[in-house]
Amino acid sequence: MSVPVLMIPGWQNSGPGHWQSLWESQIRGALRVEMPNWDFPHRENWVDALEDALGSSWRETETPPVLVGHSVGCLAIVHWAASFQRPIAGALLVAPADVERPGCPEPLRNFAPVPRFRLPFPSRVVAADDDAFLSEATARGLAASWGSAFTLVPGGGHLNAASGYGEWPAGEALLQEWLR
Amino acid sequence: MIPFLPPPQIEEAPFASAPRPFPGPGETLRSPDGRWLLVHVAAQQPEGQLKGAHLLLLMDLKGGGTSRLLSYNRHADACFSPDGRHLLVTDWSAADAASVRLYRLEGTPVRASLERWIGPLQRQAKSSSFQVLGWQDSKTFRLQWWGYGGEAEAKSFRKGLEVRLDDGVKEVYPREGEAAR
Repeated sequence: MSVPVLMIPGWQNSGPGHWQSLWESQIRGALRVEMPNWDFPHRENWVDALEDALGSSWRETETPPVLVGHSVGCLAIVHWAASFQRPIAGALLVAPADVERPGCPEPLRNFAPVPRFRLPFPSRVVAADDDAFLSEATARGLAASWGSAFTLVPGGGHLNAASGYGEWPAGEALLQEWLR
Repeated sequence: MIPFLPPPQIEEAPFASAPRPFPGPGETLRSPDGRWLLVHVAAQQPEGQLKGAHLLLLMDLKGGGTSRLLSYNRHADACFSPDGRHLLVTDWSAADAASVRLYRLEGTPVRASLERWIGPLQRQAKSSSFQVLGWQDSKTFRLQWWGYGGEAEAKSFRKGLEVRLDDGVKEVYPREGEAAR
């Protein structure tokens, strides 16, 4: 049985050239958590959708999954972890959006405040030093509060397709630590 | 309705030929020749409606008059050409999905087609996005083009393009031998 991999994209979903979409099509056992409204990410609805997806995954596989979040999707994972408990093999948290920053778009503000506590499963934050939506200092602070390992990607932007992260073998290598 | 913009904001509006985000730190941008003023307005939207949340207006400070340039949902980047005769706008529909508009600024702003340059490229891919990187000179600008699905294989790609208004388009990156990230 392969380890289930649940992709949790950010605001307005990840397009076909985004690494999450490409991994989803390439990694056995990978699937996307479908959120109720991609344009208006409502925190409680997204957390409930993630809990439903995790429940389905467990019923089908009885195997702790790996969670792969991008941007606001990372925050859905952390908010979920603050409310629910299930066995999770690991969480790759890529470019978690800083929704507490001035100028954060209105539809995302309901994800603030971001829970800061030690996640009860292994996790890794991956962030860049030039992300318009997350400073390196904030990323390091979030990683520290979540007890996550931290990987800095110099010049990586928001680590999405627009920043050149379509196929992303280096990112997939980080994911593999929980798939072995 | 076009909002009133008090004179001090016009005086303080900065020049820039590199893309400037709207919304962003400033809400106005002046063309290098001083004729045009681009103004961002946050539109009043019913709760739960993303469409048309922002508006870009272009004021003609010399000839008078204001044009409604673009209504958009998320955010936009804009930059005037160094001679102030063209304006490029990137309309970001998602964090990794965007399109570009080119406006010719003469008596009134006119949207110019980019089909000649980017149409053939768009037809090569299943999905394409374009972002303005900036002006090289008054006749030349750079775009980033990224997307998914080429002629023969399902792969993502990202390329830098240089467009000459009086000529064609050429790729400026990736350079040969650049590795995948």
